Amino acid sequence: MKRSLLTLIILVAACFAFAQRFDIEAFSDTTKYGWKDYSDRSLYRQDLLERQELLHIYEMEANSMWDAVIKSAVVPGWGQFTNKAPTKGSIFLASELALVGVSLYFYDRSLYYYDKYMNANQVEDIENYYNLALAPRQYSMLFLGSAALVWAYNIFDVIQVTGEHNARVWERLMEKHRSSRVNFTANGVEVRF
Amino acid sequence: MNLPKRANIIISMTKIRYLILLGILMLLGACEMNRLRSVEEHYEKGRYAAAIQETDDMILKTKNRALVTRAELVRSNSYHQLGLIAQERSTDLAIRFFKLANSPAADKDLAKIYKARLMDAALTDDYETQLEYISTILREMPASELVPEMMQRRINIYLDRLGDSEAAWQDYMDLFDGYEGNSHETVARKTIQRIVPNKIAYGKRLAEAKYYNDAFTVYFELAKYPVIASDEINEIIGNTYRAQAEDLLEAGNYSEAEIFLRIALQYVPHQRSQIEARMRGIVDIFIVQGDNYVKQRNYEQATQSYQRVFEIIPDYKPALDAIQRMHTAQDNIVRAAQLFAQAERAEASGKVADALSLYRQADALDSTQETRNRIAISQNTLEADRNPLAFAKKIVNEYRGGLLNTRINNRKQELQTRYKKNEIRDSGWKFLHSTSQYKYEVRYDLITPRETFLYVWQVNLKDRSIIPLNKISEDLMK
Repeated sequence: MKRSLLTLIILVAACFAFAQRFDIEAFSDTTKYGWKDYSDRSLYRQDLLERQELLHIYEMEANSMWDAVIKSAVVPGWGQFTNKAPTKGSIFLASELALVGVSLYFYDRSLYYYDKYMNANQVEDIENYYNLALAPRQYSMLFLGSAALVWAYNIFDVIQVTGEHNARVWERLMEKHRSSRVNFTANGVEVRF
Repeated sequence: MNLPKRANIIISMTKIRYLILLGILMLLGACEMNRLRSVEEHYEKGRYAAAIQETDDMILKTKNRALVTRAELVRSNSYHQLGLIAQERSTDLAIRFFKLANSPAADKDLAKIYKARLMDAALTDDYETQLEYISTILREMPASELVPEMMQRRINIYLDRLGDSEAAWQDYMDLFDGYEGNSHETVARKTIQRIVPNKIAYGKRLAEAKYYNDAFTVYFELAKYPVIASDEINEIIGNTYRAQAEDLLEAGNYSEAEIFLRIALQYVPHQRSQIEARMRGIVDIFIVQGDNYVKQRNYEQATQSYQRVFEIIPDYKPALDAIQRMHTAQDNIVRAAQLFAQAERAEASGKVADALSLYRQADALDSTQETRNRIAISQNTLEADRNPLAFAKKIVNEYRGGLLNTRINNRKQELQTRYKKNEIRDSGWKFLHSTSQYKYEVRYDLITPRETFLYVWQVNLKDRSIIPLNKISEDLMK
């Protein structure tokens, strides 16, 4: 409790120490984005408007983060496949299958000895089968935990992969837009010379 | 022992699930998309400064430039909103925010501020400040709805204050090109019509100085805009084309002149009769040119000249007639050559009378020096055959209007001044047959006691030539 209070006090003090006074002049400086005059502003605006037009195409071509996460949550690696990362997808899928398979194998072994333990009548057999059932169960849990970790990392990865994929989609659109001489814009046909 | 173990397993599984869920939430929290959502949330809740600062930060850290673009759009809107808020307190600050917003919507509000300041300057008659704001709006906000009004205002300032009619005209052209029919364009049209007479006068001066292309540039520029009646400007353009055509005619460039006359006709159709008469004048020149080539027997060039007529006036009858004449002349030449050849054969066989007749026919068809010479020789031959002596006398007597007789008489009279009459012996004309047929030797002797003049010539009956055979005869003929 004391430690928490101390931490809170330190945080508040740090906030005050690092807080900067709001400078309206700097905030409203029209050259802060590198626009020296109206021609610079015009160039930036033109660029932004062009990018805005491309956003519509981007929205259609970009992959949904949630879709990818759900896919990878259901089948590890599926989201990666969707986002054009088949190697990663394969590794995650294979790892997950292997870990779950091994976990199931040990779980089955554990159940086998557990049944024997349940049916045993002799004290020696009871102890022996119990011990034999315990080790596979622990292995099974260990592999299942590993599978869970891989699954979690798979989710983390699919978020990264989707972000990277979407970034690439945008770069590709921009590249295509810059290289094309004829563009169909909202204002009509634009030809670059 | 069994149940607690199973319960432990279930508890462990539940913990793992929570851990996984927590992990997912943390991962999603770190997602770039969430930064954009945060920016949008700031904007939606009216925390524009926060939205701007977070966007500026996001631009530096975010890989996905599509998200950055969306954030930049939000930032632009945030600045616009800040500008609208600031407008109530400080227009200077609002201007800065609108400039930072850098969007068409912000431009509209920025233009409104500029216009308000412009109107203030108008109240104090400060045209320089007005011009400054007008130019700023036109330069920085070319898509603003205020543009036509600003252009009209600037035209007024250029004309009424600065006297810069060329700049005013340039503005009017831009105004018309971009906003034809706009109420401000209509007003500006009436204003700009004041400078039209000067522009026309300038064009006329250029045309008079033979700078036709420059003059046409002025005229066509005027014709493009509704500042002058189309009939009036067409008349000026048509007349200028006619003037240029006349210059080309003077320079002998008939084809170009004809082209310009045709162009002129399009502008001044009511001058059709005069222009067509002028074009006929041009084609008549081509016909005369062709006739001259025919005389020089250059039929190829002649045909080209006649064909040029048809390029101007198809089936022009005088040109057709000229071509017919040329063909007849060509036929006559061929026929004359045949007759000439026949005449030569007749002459060679001694049929001089027939030859003369044929030569005359050939001469009638195609008169050449050669034919005329042959006719003369044939005539002489016939006359010489008839009475050679009489013909020889005739030749001598008629030689250069009786020159020989006159000069001999003069010599005789001169001798009579120095000698007595009986001392001078005059032989008179003596005609002696020469060695060759159709040639006679002609003598005339004047002998005194101290001087002797023995004149002697050879007369060729065929060609009527007289050749002196000694020095004093030659001197007498000079």
